[in-house]
Amino acid sequence: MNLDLALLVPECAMLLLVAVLFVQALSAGPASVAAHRWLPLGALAVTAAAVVALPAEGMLLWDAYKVDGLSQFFKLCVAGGFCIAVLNATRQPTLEEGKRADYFLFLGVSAWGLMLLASSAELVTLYLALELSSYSLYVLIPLRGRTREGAEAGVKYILFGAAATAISLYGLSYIMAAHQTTYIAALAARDWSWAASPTAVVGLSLFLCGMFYKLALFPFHFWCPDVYQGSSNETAAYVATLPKLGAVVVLVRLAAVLHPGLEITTAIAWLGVLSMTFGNLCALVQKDVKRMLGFSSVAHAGYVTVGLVSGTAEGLAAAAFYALVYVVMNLLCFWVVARVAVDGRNLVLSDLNGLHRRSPVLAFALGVGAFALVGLPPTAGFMGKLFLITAAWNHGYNWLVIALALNSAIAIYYYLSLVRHAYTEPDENTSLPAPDQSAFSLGGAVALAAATLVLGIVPSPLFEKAVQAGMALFG
Amino acid sequence: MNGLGAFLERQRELRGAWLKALYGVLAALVLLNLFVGPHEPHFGLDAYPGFWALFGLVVGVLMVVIMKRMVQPVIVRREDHYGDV
Amino acid sequence: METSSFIHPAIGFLALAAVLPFLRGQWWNWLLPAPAVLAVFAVFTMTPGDHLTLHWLGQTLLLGRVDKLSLVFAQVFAVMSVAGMLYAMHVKDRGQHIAAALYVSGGFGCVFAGDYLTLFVFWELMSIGSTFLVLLNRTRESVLAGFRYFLYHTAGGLLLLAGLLLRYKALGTWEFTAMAPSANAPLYEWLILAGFCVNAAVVPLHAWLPDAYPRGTVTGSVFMCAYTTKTAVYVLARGFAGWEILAAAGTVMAVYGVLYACIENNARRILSYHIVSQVGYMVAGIGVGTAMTLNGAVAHAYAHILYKGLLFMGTGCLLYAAGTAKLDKLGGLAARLPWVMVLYMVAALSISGMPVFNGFISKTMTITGAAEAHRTLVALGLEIAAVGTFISVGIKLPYFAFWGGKPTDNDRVLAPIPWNMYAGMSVLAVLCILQGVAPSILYAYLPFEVEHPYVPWSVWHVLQSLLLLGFSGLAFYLLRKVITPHEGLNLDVDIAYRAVGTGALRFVCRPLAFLDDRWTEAYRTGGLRGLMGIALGSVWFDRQAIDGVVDGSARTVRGIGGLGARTQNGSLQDYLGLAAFFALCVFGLVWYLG
Repeated sequence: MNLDLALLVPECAMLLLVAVLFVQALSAGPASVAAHRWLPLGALAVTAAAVVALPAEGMLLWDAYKVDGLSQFFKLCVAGGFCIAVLNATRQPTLEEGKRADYFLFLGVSAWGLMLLASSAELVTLYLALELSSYSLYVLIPLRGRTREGAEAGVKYILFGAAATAISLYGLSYIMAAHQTTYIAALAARDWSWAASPTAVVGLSLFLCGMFYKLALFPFHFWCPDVYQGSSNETAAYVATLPKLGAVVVLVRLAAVLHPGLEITTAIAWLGVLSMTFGNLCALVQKDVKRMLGFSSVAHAGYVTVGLVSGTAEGLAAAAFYALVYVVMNLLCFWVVARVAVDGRNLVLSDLNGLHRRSPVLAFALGVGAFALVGLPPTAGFMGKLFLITAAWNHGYNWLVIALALNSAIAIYYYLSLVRHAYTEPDENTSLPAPDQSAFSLGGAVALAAATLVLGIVPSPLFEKAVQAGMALFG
Repeated sequence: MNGLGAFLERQRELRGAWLKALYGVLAALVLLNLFVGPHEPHFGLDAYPGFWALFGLVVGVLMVVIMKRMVQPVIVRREDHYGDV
Repeated sequence: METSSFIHPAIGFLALAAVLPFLRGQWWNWLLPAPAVLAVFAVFTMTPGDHLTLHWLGQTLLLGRVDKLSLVFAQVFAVMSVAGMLYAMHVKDRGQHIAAALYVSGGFGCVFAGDYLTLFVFWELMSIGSTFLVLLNRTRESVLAGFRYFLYHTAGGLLLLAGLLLRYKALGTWEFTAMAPSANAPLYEWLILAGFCVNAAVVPLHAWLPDAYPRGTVTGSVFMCAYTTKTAVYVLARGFAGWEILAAAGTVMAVYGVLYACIENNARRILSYHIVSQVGYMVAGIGVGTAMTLNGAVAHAYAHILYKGLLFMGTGCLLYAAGTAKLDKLGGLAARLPWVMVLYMVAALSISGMPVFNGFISKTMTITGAAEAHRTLVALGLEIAAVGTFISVGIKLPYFAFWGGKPTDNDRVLAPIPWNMYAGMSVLAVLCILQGVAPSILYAYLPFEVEHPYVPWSVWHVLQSLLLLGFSGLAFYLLRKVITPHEGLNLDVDIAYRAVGTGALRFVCRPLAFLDDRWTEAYRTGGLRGLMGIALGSVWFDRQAIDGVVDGSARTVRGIGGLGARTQNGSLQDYLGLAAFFALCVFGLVWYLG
């Protein structure tokens, strides 16, 4: 059976965290230490475990579970993202006191599921991990005071998710019928052209719908803006970032199957370009900040596909790197949003007016995040897009690369409107209370902004890791 | 003024004695030159005793007289001739 | 096999120059001799060879060529820098120290340069450092002199630059090696020679020396007398040994210098003309080119730095204490500044070639070498110069400065001379005597091999020197009323340069400035208005035409975005339906058409 625990260090650490949270959730009383006090340290410990486990390599559980460079890279990203999301969520005005431990418990289970997803080498395992991470999130969305928006968002998320994953399972059955195996390694060796086995192609396309739903790629994105808008700011911070990582890692693994020129790959490319264009166009008219960020997620999902369809190790590394910098940039933006909306409300653009005077540090951090999402140097967003473009050019999808460039230009409008409102619009009377100016808030903003800039100036260490992981997939 | 200064002050009074000593030394050197000569004369003439003495005296006198009495009156100007003092 | 070691002595001085502006407090004066001590240590521990090869812009530069010739010059530079820094320790003006440090490091750099590019860089560094040593005296006279000095040295540097660039074009290398003397030497060799001769103060390119050195600071002139001219001697020895023209030029310089020194009034100007004379010895020795004369030139350079430095220090003390260096204003000071007098006389006797002092063991080597090479005129000229040297520097200067036929001047106010000035002078005086008594400590470092070594301490040599000097002294005594210095400026070849300067100003600069003014007028009335008109037109076009198009297209895109956003109507059934519809459309199109 091959269960070598030494290879499972990050998962075990995360599971331990979840277990403690579980016990705490069941037995929460006045004597216990509140979850949000010790959890950031715990999350940091899990991140440290993930760092230590970076060089682990091996196959577990009858080859259904693969520990390699790619999975460890993503587990580290998930652990890091979880840590920041937890820090963000320690101050949550819309969450009832008694539900804190439960909230973090489900957050932890979702992150654990994403870690399992990163290492899944077999489609059923993958499906299970996907469901595990999704179900925990379904519970969290409605936890927003006792508002109607939260409940509505939760319902949409569940039903849309259920439909998507059902289609996914249906597709899985077609794949099993066509190729008699669900192991990705074995599937990579099979023929995936429409002419040779249309059943398998249909099956894979349907299976991928589940992944696209998680990634919020057009046309499976419709839940995204509504769910972001409906859930609390801190939950949205998690939902906007980490599940995308999980989806990207699965797509990267499956990209070994997706050679350029195949119909599947072309379909993904078309979905990518539609996603970017549609997402950017819709975001142009949004007033609610989270809704706008939701549509921007749709666009960024499109950008990621550029790397996936290139069929080279650099392309996959670019996609993985872009997913990581996307998580960092988004966590930065959501951090600022959460700190500005101290009473937990949904921010509209006019709520940002005069932020540079009310809190210059937060305004600057928002600026860095906005520029990073646009893709301006010296931020990480620019580096990510640069890697995508250079990896994908001249591999048969040049039109997709051109679309990426054009869409980045369109996106400038709404990202910079964030900066415009923060810096140039006059601060008329708003009912919004003063933003959180504590050391925690400013420190976090500065740290995330610094991380964005550092990744933009010195991307090589991480990118090299990603390239190595990518080459291991092909080699 | 320290000890050396006082010593020098006193020697000024003994000026005459110092001068006599100088003449004596010079005479002795010329005398010595009669016995000691160069093994490789530079100009041929300097093998002769007293050559260098004469050379020093004559060249010195000529130099000072020509420069100070003939050349300087021609080339000397006011200190401020070029306007940069 | 010992490990090769090389610390470039310039490093300490460059570091001092970099750090000095930032030091606070009173203690930094004590730091000044440190780079000099480091330089001495570096020089005595460095191993011969080619060190510090740099590759820059595709060229190979050699910063550390250590062989016997460069080592002996570096040694004396290092020793002199210790004495000079000691002497200058009391000066509060940091700028002077920085200038001196840059200057000295330039000297070291030139000595160790293995290629012309490095040489040029350090050559110019020396030029800048020494200019500031003149300028920082901060009187009108010094500032003007410094300006002329800088112009002149820049011109000399340009000659050097032209020569070395032409040489690179012809030969393809920057390497600084000896150039064989020949009648048809190519133009670039003459240009380089000219550039070197400017710094060596070869007549008629020498007028900058008596113009600038007397007007430098008290401590600055001490540095200047040692480095510029001796670096020039080094590069001439390295590159132009045996060139006939140098033998003639050197002899002319030697005699010319003492002739002027006889009639000068300012003590430091006398010494400056003497530099011309003494360097003439060295240049003549290089020109003659036999091993003994070359060794003589090097030995003379070594000894000269020591005693010339001491001479300038002595007259510097006079200037510092009495406020003037003019001989007609001084006199009657022997009893009040006895040690200055004694230390000065050590140097004066050294320069004259009196036995027991180091001039005796170095000057005579050159003369003997010239005679042995059958260069009678050269030897004769150098002996004449020896007479003149003793008369002007050995007797005239100290006589009129310290005695002058006047009684002891007890009324004159003398500024007290700080201990470090005496210390600096003592260091040099001791070395002068030491080398004179034990010449082997100098001879051991001489670079060229001679068939039979020169023995200075022979009865004849001592006798000849004493005869020559004694009777020259007698000549002075007899003519002491004639040689009395008077105030006045003796015209020198610098009338030619000044004429060129004024002429250029009148015929070139002023007319060009006039034309330039007219042009600016035309620009302002005609050109500027036209430009503004075009600018206004461009702004109109930009605003109406371009912005119109861009804004219009942006609004259209936003409108399309608004339409797209309508699909997000909030109803879940619509979402699922649209998702399925679009997915089928895309997949279908790709599968059937792809």
